[in-house]
Amino acid sequence: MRPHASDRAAVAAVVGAAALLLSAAPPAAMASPCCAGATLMPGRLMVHEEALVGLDLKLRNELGAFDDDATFADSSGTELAFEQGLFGALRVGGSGQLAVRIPLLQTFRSFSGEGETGGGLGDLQIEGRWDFVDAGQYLRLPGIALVASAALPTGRAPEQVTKLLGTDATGTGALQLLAGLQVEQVFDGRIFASAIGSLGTRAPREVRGVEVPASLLLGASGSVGLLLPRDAVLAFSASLASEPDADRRSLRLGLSAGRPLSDDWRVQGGVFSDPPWGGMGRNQQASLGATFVLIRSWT
Amino acid sequence: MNMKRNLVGSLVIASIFFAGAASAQPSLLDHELAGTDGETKSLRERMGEADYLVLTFFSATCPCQTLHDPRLRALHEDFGSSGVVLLAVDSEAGSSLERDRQEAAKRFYDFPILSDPDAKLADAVGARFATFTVIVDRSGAIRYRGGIDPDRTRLRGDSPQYVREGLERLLAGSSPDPAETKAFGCYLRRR
Repeated sequence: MRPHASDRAAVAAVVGAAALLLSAAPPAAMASPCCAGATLMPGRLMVHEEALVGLDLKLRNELGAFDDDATFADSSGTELAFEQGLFGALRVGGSGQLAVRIPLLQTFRSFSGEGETGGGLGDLQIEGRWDFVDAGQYLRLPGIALVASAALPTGRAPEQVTKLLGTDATGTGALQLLAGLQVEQVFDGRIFASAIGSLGTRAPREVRGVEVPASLLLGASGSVGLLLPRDAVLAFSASLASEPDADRRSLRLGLSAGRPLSDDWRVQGGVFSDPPWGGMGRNQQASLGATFVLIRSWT
Repeated sequence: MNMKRNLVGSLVIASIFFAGAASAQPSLLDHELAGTDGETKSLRERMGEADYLVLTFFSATCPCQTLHDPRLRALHEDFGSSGVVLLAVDSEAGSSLERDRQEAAKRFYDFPILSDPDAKLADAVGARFATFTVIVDRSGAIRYRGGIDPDRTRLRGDSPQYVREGLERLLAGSSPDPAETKAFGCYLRRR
């Protein structure tokens, strides 16, 4: 399908505006809590931490889907997906981090009175990041990090399902590679802002004898948060993802909160939604869901 | 033979030069800083007759700093009459003595906060995070560097008190153990 130039332009505009906002913001005269970004990103180590392990739970309800024209249609059935992830992260070379996540998925789907449950191992995720500058380290310069991730096709691809309603599909069926740049800053010790722009590819694969070519993946996300007493963070986020070659686009909004339970344990939770309004997505499902994450870390 | 004599001569001159340079190198205690007490003095002058100087790096907005305020006040109270001087140092970009005065009053500090606007003292001792603390002896040597304790978000009654125990050991004639730990506060923001 023909790539939409507007998708690329929208992603570039979001990333550019966010980067500009962060780097040109007026200087804050105060120190910053070190770890707002890590409080919100499950697999990310705080500046003092050497390692962590965690468990994440995600419940998602399908609201409907966007078609080719970005028109939204309500779901004609019911789909509930429950996902659990085990993850761990390790500090590498001082400013580097390496994280691995193993997801397990269960899906319940009902359509025309028929109900079905399926699931299994999802796509294994490997993430790395290198922080050139940490947020809060300098008065004017924002935190700058290079991020990269890979999703390995360890889950069951949609074309390999054995169940009637396809509830045993747990993966995309293709290797996905992404690399991006993150900028983040803390203003006045109270407000946290972060933006990530990413570029990647979904590797080519064969589906029932038909070659599916590699496709470009574009992503941009931004979050703004309030730093609360006792190192707690409350944040609003927006993520835009686009796969121009497949004419696919999605927008996800989220509200999340995180706080330490102790020096070694912290929890995060949130709600998210792909807004079910026309024009907010294309060739993509829209969902409403909630997440909960528990993390144990070591300094 | 001449070559050997020249080499020996060069080595003697070089050693005299480097010895001179070393003795001319300013001590940590020569840093002169203005404080919230209205005085601008060197650390040596502030130390007076005390045996040890405790410098703790301060951040007005760091939750970890606020968490440790009671322990800092207790250190000052418990060791002030035992030959130990405790001083807070604000090395953050954008800090001001006026704001530090307000902070010191708000936090009931009975010790001054010194202003280190160019972070020269922070650089000299390797301070990057708030609550980073050093214990310095009369010669200017750092005897301990690191956190006040290992606590970050909660003060635990059973956690080791690195600075307190380090001072106790020094006053008893031995050395802090550990002599170096991590400080868990926020970044001391630089320009």
